Amino acid sequence: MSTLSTVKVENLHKTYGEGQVQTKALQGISVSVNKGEFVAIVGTSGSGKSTLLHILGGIDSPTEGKVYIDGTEISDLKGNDLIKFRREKIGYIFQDFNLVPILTVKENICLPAGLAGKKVDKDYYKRIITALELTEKEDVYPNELSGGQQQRVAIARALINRPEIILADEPTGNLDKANSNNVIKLLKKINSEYGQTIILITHDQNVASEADRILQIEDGRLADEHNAY
Amino acid sequence: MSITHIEKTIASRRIRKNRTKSVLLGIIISAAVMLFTAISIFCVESEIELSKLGTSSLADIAYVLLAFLVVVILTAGVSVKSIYEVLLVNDMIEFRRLKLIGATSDQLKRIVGRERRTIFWSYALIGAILGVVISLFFPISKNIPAIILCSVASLVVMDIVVIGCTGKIVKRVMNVSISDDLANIQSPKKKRKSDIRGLTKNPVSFLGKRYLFSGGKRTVLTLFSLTLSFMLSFVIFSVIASFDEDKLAKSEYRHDSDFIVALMGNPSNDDEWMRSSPFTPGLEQKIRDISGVEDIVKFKCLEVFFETDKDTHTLSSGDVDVSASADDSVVPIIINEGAYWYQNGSTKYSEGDRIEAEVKAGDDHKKVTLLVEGFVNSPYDLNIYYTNEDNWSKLTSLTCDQKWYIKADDDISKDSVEELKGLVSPNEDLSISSLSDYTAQLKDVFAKVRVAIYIVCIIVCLFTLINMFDLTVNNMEKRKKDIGIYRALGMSDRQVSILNYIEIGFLIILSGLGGILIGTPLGRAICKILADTMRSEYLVYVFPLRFLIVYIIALILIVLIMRRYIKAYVTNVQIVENIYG
Repeated sequence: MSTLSTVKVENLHKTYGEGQVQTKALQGISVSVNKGEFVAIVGTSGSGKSTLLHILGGIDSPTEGKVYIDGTEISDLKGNDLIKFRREKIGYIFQDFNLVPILTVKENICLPAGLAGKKVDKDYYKRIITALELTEKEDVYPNELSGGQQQRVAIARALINRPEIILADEPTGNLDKANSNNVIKLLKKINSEYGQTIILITHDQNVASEADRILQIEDGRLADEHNAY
Repeated sequence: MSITHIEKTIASRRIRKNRTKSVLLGIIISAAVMLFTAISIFCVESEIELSKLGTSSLADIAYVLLAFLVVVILTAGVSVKSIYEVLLVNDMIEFRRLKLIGATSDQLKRIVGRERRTIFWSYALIGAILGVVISLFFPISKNIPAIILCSVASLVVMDIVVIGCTGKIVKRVMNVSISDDLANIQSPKKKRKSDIRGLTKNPVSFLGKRYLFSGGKRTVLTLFSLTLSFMLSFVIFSVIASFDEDKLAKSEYRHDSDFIVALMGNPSNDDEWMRSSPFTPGLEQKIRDISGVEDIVKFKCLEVFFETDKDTHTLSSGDVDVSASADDSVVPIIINEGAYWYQNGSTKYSEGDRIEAEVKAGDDHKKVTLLVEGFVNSPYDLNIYYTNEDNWSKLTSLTCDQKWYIKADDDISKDSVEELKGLVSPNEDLSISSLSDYTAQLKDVFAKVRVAIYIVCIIVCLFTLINMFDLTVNNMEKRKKDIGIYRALGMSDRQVSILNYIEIGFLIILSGLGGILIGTPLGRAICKILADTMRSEYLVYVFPLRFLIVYIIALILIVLIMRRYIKAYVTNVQIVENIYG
């Protein structure tokens, strides 16, 4: 395994259901992502890209194959070890933001720190919310925010524990063009400033073109892999 | 428009699909109708009995049961509402699909209405029948019109309760829009400042509290129903536990007696008894000769009519100190001013008052003047007027004892008891009863009554426990996505479990404390009122520790079941399933 690889996937298979209703979501994917790389995964709906991202993030398990994050095989981790590993190493950004409705913006952002038993680094927090233009919205509930603002909160939440890898599942899928551009710019800025590895799923070729590398997935297989231009 | 075949089919398919919840809903409806029918029959029949007998004892119980009825309706209503809510909310997407393919709001209403009616009537009728069967065991005269009326009334009332409880959610189904965002977002209405200290210090407790306070009406309603049912059961158990059967039995066996030999009727109405009393000197001597018999206290009483009122009074001979009559013109009496009926009667007497009266003893009617010589205060004694046994000859030429109180040694032998019973039993005009047998009978009766009340209380508590369990399941369903987010962000399985306990734990503790804090003084007050009203020294407040232990065990069982459910949920449901449904 390359020492540069933060994420390495070997012969990954994922099958849902049994017998006649069996669906093969992933069929032997092998791929590696280097530290600090910004990778976009593209593919048609149902191609398996979300499943791949979920397995990379440890929130779903593969039927077969191995996933290494920073040299650790995550399918070997069970229970609390996996949870701790996930909250230390990985930050998630979801398509539909998935903010907790009963928490304010500030509480949503700081939730991963709280769950990890960490104190919130106030300076770092200030830097994030300033960069994401959320300083005026700290005490507001998610339902009072626009889609773009909610996605920025989700990004801030993914960053608060300074994870090495950020997994973004169609982060611009629910946003208009202007907000999409802003979110991508932010992710690029984070990638360059903090050196975090970003793996992003998208349908949008324009969004994908902002990445360092594009992985094309079709029918659960890696169809193409090329650098973005 | 009447319901169409396809609407009926959809309704019945929905019931089949949600079988577990439908059965749970049915059981609650059935139990509530059963209790409602049984209690209302008892209340109505006791009212009828009351009007016939002019006694308030049954009405007192009826009022307590009426309060119980209100709690039954409330707790059943809350349970039905919460289960029905889950039943419909979970299928909101289905209703939206139906609208999408052209179903109107009225059609959705008819489907949901049909579903509700099918569940209600199939279970409510069973409940009503069971209620009628239970009512047949009540120690009260049966009244067929009352039974029919109460059964119909309980069905109608419970139907109205169910319609009322589910009205809002049915409206939500009717008004579901094709473009509705069906995510169950539960955002607090009040603005609050972010509390990062609380969040980072203990995130699970922080989130638990936040959910609790954002629960709004549902939380308040559950808390209310839990507190009310617990408190009511707590109070009822306090009162039931407060009856001291030994003291109750002792209150009948006056003069510290162990046996009572009594006439099989009222001597005042039977000349034969007056002329030839079965209480003969020979019998008295034979009883006194039995080894272990210490003393015999004789009790006489006569029916007396005062010229000042229309009521019949009883003049007794007893162990109060009354002087013997100096001449034939007046008979001295002592009044027990503590007696319930004297205190609640309209006429009050003073020392030295003369009461013109007529004494009735069989066919012998005699006019006498009674002289109030003084007063005693025995609140636990129901007799009001006493005179000296030596004055009896001034009151009537016919006289007969009514009871003999026999006091025996503590270690009286079985043979002596058998000898005593053997002396009295052959005489058809007399009966003999013993304190030990009476105490055993009372204990048996109380044990049966307690079991019956335990069952009713358990059913009421069961409603709230089901409601609580349902609240957990409902919360897990409602917060499925939130739980997924927490798990994705690093919440451990244990933390997820604890998060779900916090709300329930808070409700249990608060309702328990509330129930005990309100229930204890209320139980004390009710016991005091009952003791004062019934003039009973055998009713002394007892903290219902046994009930509390049973309730805590029931709660522990429910918590264990919930724990299993939560654990199974966390273990079996993948985070992706949580988030993406």
